[in-house]
Amino acid sequence: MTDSQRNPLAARAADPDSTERWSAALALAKVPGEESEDLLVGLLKDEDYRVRERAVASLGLRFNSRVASACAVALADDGNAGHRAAGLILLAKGGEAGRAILLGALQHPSADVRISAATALPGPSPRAETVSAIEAAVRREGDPNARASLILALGRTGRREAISPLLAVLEEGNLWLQVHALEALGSIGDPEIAPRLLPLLGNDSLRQGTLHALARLRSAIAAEPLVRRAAGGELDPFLLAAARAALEAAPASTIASLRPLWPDARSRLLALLEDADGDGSGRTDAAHLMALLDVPGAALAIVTHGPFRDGYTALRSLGRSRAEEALLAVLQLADPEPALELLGALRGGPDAPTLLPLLVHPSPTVKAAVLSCVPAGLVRVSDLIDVLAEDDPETSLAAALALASDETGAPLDQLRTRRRALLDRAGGPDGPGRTAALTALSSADGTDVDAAIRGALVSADPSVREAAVLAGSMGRRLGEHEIVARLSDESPTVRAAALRGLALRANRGDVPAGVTWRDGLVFLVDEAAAAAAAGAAVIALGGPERPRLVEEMLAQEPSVRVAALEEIERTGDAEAARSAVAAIGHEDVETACAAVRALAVADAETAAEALPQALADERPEVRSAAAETVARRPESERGTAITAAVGEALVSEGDRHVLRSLLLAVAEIGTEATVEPLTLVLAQEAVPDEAEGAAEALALRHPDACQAAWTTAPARAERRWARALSTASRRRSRAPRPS
Amino acid sequence: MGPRPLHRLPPALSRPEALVTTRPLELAETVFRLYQDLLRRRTGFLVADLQRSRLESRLGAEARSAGSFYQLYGRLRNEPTSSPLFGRLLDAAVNGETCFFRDPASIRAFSEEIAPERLLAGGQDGVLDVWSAGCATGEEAYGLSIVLHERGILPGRKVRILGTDLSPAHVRRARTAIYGPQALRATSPERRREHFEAAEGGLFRLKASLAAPVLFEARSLLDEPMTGPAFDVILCRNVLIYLSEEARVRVIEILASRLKPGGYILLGASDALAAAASPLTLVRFSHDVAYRR
Repeated sequence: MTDSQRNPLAARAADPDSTERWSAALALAKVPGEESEDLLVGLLKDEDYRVRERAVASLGLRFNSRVASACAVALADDGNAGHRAAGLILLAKGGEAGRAILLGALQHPSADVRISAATALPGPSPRAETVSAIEAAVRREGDPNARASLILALGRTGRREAISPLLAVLEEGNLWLQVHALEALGSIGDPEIAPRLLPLLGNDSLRQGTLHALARLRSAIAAEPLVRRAAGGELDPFLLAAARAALEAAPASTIASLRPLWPDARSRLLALLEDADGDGSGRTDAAHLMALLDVPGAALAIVTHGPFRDGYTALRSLGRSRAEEALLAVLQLADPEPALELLGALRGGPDAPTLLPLLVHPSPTVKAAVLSCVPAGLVRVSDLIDVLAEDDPETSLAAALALASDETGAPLDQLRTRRRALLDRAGGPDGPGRTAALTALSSADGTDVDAAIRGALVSADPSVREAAVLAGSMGRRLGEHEIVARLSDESPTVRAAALRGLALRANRGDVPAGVTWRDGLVFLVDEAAAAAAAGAAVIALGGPERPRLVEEMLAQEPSVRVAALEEIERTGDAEAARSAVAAIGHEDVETACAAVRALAVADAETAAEALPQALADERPEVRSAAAETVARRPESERGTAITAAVGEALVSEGDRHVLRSLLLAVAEIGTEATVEPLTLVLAQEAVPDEAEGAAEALALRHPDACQAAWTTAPARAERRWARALSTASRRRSRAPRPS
Repeated sequence: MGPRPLHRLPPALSRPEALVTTRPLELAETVFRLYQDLLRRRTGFLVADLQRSRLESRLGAEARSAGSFYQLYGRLRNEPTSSPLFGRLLDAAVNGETCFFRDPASIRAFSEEIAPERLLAGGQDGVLDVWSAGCATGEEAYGLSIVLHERGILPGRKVRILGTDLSPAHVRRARTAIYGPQALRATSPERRREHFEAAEGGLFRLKASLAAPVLFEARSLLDEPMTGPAFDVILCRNVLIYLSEEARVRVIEILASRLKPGGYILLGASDALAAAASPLTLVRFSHDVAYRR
């Protein structure tokens, strides 16, 4: 009997069809034992790259000494570059064991092998010893390409210990190695290196590399020499990028002191902006420099000559004192984009009220955005009524919600005027304004409101009827029979609204008399909007039968399935959440995500088992949903298993979107055990804002552990920890003391 | 920057706290990705990460009305693309920045070479059917009408110009034919004087005779049927670059199927790469290149 006959997976791994071999590599990941390991090792040299990738992923889950040995063999396979690359990837992910083999390979007689090993180094969490080992290899290496690869590896360690040997390379005078050393120093990102690099700007061969490194260092120290060079006429894209990075890092006082050094900055930068055929990134950096240097007329120049590579983002670099100038500039244009950029920059901040003048902008998009972000009390009631009367689909809802806001602090007579305006419009002719007024009135009480809602139920416009049903479902404005009657409305959106209304009441514990989950069944085959609402209603009305109903909903159409699973969290039913666990592995991503989100209300045991699995799911959407759900769990029930899983996920996550979700979770639930994995993230060159937020949150909760991390972290992480610790310390000192 | 608060699902659809406050709701990163994915699947349109604050500003009222950005997503997911609510999402996501005569080379190729050739092919009573696919706020479609008037083709010959765009708001604005100075930044003073009238607020209104041959409709290119009214010329400039690879291929197929025999497609410079694999033939004109069926 052959191996293939004994083991069907072995047969598939040897199948001529690469899809079969790929499937075998996937299945073998779940089969323990040396036999399956050997099959996977064999697939590392497969001719199809997808099979090799799959084998690498499967072996990555069980990296051990046998796998490490197989990788060492792959590393020296001169005849199969794919095999070698697969081994390298595994070794790079293989922690200390993988790194030891890679460091050993730096002494291999073949320069190709040494270069491959250097390319995969330093691997995760490099320590000072790793730097020493690579530095030693740099010293003894005779091949210039291998040496250059090792220099770059030193940069990737991100550690300060690597700075000194890299600076030594700069002194050597070998241009090839100097360029690589500059690249590596940029990777380490320690701004304090900048003074050592600035003299190299005089060397024409190294100028570009030096400017590129300076742009990555983001050192305020470089701001003055770079501005002087710009003033001297050096306005190429490399210099502009480096100057912008330096000014972005510099405090306002430094920038103010630099302005006199470049008296003709306005005309020089404006000329670059006016050259529509000029280099795109250079023009973009020039626009930011205008704003950063607070050049008079910068706002108008940016608005007039934009959009740039990043749209009108340069407006965000303007100082607060230029807010009025920016407002006037964006009002010069009927184009909404610059105004929206300004709105985006100031939205939610203390300066949001200054955006009020934008209400006269001709674009309804801008008007709606202003009404959504300026405190409602600041907008004149007559203006709001005018906007509502325009009946524009873009602005009506924003105006109506502003009229209904309870944060206006307005006197009673003005509140009456606001309410009257909404009631008038809710009882007026059909149109976006009426729909909006009804929606806004859903948060108001009174018989006049009830009458307006009832009147709208018989409107000819389905949008108006839908808004009326939803508004009437709040409180007890409409009786059950009135909501149920809308289930036979001719419009699916109105039927959906009625079903949502019933679900809402059930979730409030106000189960409509005579209505059961069975009433929703007939709508499961309705049009998409109504069917999804029916799925949610069945779960909301399910009561003790809910866990069984959840299982049955999994057999429905995707939109129904997802809506039903999402309803579980609103019901708060832990048993139903447990029933949803099986759907986490569902092939439909949205279904899987909805099942994960239901875990927010699952019992501690179910969550501790299912969430770590979801955090390790192959699909980034599912991992992201799991990270969000972790943070929504009750604080007392998060558990160490979940926290540890978040830490592990943080280290291995390759998708930046998921990483962001994980960092947000760390900010909420991170413990001392999360400090080390977070340090690895903070050591990277480009980290999401959320990483610094997570660091601040941890520094606030676990200052000692974060201080310890700070003292041993790589250069970039060290700086970021320092900032986080300092911010946390300031916050602690500001916090009120218990009396 | 401090930690961004996590998106939280409200406990129920109960009286939405969001409705009675004007504190801006936040579009969490993870929820934004759901919007990105929804738009990509439905329209092929790729929303850049930078657009997050744009969606946050523009959909603030709708999100407040739904309870949160996540709940708004839940509703949008089950809405047809043609619904008013989905239209609001499209309005929020699609950038309509353009101007009249943005690409003079292409306009010259159209008015001096392609349009005369197609009119000749159509005979004396033939109709020149033109489609500006992804017309934003109508500058390109109206610009074609202007150059056809300048060349003396209009009003004598029968010309129909259709402009379509994903965003209903863009189409509403296009129908007004009123523009600000930014939209006319590449328009010569002579053309401004000749073809536009002053409108309120320092704006410019296109003369009615020039607007007459142009019609606008809001719809997605992916929703276009493979069979339908055919066109002599289709302009689809700087649209494909915003679409996913899969959607680009599909749109090229649709556009090609909607050309009259011998008709032309004019693409943007970066769009042209996507057409390389299509059944169309590249034709060089004095001022631009086009693809012919």
